[in-house]
Amino acid sequence: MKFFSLIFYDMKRLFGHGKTAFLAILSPVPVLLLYAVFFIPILTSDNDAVIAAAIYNADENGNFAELVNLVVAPEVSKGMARIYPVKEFETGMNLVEEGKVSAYLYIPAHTYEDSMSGKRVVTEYYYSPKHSFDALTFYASLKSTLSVFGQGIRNVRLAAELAKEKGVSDEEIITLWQEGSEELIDVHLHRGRIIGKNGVFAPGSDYYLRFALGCLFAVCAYFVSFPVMYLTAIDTSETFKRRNPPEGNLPGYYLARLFSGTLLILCSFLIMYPVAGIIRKVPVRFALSVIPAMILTALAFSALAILIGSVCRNGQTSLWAGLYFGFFSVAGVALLSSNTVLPSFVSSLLQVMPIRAAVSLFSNAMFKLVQVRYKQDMLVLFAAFLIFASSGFLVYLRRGRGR
Amino acid sequence: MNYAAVLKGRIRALVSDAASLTVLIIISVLCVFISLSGNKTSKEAMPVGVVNEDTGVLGEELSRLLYEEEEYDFYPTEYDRAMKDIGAGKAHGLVVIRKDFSERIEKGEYESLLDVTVMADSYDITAFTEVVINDTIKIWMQSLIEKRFANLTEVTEEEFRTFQEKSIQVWSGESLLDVEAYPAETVADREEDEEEEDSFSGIRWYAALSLFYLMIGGTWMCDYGSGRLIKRVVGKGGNIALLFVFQSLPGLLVTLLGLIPVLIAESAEGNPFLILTAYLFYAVGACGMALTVCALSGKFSNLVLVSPVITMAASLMSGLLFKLPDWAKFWETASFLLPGHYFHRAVSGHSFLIGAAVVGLIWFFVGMLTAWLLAKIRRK
Repeated sequence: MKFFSLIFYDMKRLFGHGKTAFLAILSPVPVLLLYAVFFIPILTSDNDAVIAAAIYNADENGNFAELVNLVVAPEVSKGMARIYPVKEFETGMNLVEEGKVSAYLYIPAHTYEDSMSGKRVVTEYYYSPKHSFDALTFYASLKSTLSVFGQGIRNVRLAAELAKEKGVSDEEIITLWQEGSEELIDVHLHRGRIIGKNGVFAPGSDYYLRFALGCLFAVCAYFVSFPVMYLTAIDTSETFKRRNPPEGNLPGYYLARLFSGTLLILCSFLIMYPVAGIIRKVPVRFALSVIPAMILTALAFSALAILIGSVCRNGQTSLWAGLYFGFFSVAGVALLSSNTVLPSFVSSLLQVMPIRAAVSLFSNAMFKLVQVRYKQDMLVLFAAFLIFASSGFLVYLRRGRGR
Repeated sequence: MNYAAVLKGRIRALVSDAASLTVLIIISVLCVFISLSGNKTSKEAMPVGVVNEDTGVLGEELSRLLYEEEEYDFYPTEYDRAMKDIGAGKAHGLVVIRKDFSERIEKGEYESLLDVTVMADSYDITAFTEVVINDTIKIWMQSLIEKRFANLTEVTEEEFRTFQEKSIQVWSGESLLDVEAYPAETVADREEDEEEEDSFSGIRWYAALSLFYLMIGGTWMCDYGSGRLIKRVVGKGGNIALLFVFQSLPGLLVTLLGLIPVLIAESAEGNPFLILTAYLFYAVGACGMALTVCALSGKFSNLVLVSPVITMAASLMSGLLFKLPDWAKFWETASFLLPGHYFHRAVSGHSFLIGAAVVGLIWFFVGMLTAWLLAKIRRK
C-alpha cells in the first residue's frame, strides 16, 4: 500500500471511528463557549462596552470633582464611560442599586480641603453587583491613579508652603501651585504613555484573558488526541495480533498514525481559532507565528498519544493513562502560574512539560509574540516531539512484532 | 432477580477497577490538600527583571522604588540575562529603564520612558505595569517639583534637603486622597455574602470532582443505553430501576467514604453529619446525571471526552468550584436543577433538604428515561 493511501486509510479509521473523533474535534467548542458565558462582562468590556457612572459632589470647593472629571474625560471622549452628575446622595444610590449605572462615586464635603491640609479623606465608590467586574476594574485604576495624584498634589503644596516660609511672593507661589498641578494632571491623563501605551486606565491590558485562552487551546488540543491513544492501543494490543502485519509495513503505519493524529488535532485548532477570535480579538498579523505553533503542538501531542497508546495494554488503560498525564500537567500549569513554592526538581520538571509549553506558546503567539519565549517554547515542544516520536516508534515496532 | 448478587458483583468490580479507584484517591488527596492549605499555600512574588540603562541618577531612584515593592519581586539584571529568564519562564516580565530616562525627566518629558514586557503567565487580573507607572510618576513629579523649588529663590542646601526628606515621606506614606469601594446591596444581601465566603473549598471541590469520578468510573452504566441489558433484566423478571440502585450503591458509598478525610481535614465548624447527609442526596442526583451522560456516550472513549466538559459545566454553574461572581447570578438561578446547587447551599448553611431530594429524584428518573429511550432507539 502506498504511503498516501496508508494515510488516507488511517484517517478514515480515525475520523470514522464512531463519533469519537468528531466528538473530540467539537468538544473544545462548548468549553470555549462555556468559558465565554462565564466571562461575559470581561468580554463585553473588551468589546468597548460603556461603563455608566453617577457622581454626587458634596464638596463645594469643586476642585476634586474637576479632578475626577479630568481623569475620566478621556474615557468619556472615547465613548468608554458615561457620567451622570446627581444632586442627592439617595438618587445616586437608587441608580446604582437598580443597576441603571455600574458605579456611583460620592465625594463628601471638604474632600479637597481636608486632603490638602494633611487629613486623610476617603471618597465612597458604590458599584452594582450586576456590573461588578467592569466597575471594579474601573475602581482599581481610579484608586491607583488618585492615590499617586493625591501624593503629588500634596508635594506641590509642600513646596508652596516652604516657599511661603521663605518669603516668596503670593504671585510666585500661585504660579508654582498652578504649574505644578497642571503638570501633574497632564502626566496622569496620559499615564499609559510612560510605557508607550494610551489612556489613563488599565494600560496593562488583559493578560489573564490571554493566559486563559492559551490554557484552553492547549488542554483542548490534548483532549483531542485521546482517540489517537485509544485506536493505537487497540491496534497494538488486538489488531496487530489478529492480522499479523509484515514487519516492514510497521514504520509506514506509525507515520500514517502520526500524520492523521496531527491532522485531527489541527482540525480542532481550525475550529478553536475563530471561536477564540469571537471571545477576544486575535490579531491576524500573528497568524504566521500561531500556525507553526499549532503544527508543532499537534505533532507533539500526536506523538505523545501514540506513545501512550503503544505502551498500554488496552484502549481503556490508554485513556486512563492519558487522563492521569493530563491531570498532572494541568495541575503543573496551575501551580507554576500562581508561582507556588515547589521543590526545584518538581518545578523544573513542570517547566518542560509539553502542555505547559503549549499554554505559554499560545498565550504569547496569539497576542503579542515575545520571540525569546516563543523560540524556547517551540524548542521544548520540538524536543518533546523528538522524544515522544522516537520512543513511541520503538515501542510501536516492538508491539507490532508481537512482543 | 438476585439483587444481593448484583451488589456483590458490583463491589467486586469496583474494588478490582484500580484505574478508576486511583482517580478517587487522587481526588480525595487533592481535596484534603486544598482543605489543609486553604489560603496558606506558600507563594512567591512574581519575579520581574529590571534593566537600568539610564546614564543619570533617576533610573537608579526608580529601581530602588521598584525593589521596595512587595507585590512583585523586581530584581536587578542585565538585558540578555533578563531575556533568558523570560525565555525559560523564570521571569514574568521585564522593565527596561531607557538610557535617556533621567535626561528626559529633567526636560519634563514622560512619553516612552520605559520599555515594558509582560508575559501572559498568570490568571491574576492586575499586571505589574500599574506599579511601574505609579513609581515613575513619583520620580517624574519629584524631579519637577524639586527643580521648580530650587529655581524659585535662593534655597540653601539644608532647606533643599529638608524639603526632599519631607517629600519622600509623602510619597512613601499612605495616600491622603483615597477611594473605597462598596457593593450597592441591601444589608440582607451583605449578610448572605459574608456567610458565603469561600469556605469549605475542599468539600466543594470534592463534590465537583467526585461527579467526574462517578461518570468516568461508570462504564458499566453505558450498557443501560444499549437495550440488551434491559431486555435481559426484563427477561429475568427484574426491575431496571432497582438494578440501577443496587449497581450504583457501591460507587455512591465509596465516594461518601472519600469525603470523610476531607471533612476531617477541613475541621469544619458546621455539622459534619449534615454535610454527609447533603452529600448523600447530592450523590444520588450525581448518579442520575452520570447515568444520563454514560448512556448517551455509549462507550468509554466518548465518556472520557464528555465527562470533563459536563463536570466543569455542572460544577461551575452550581458554584462548587468557585464562588459565582455577582454578574453570573443567572447561572445560580439556572443551577436550581442541578444537585450541586443544593450541596452548595448545604455547606453554606442554608436549607437544602427538600430541593436536594426532589432534584436527586428528578435526575434519577431523567437517567432512567434516557436509558429507556436510547435502548428503544438503538433496538430499532
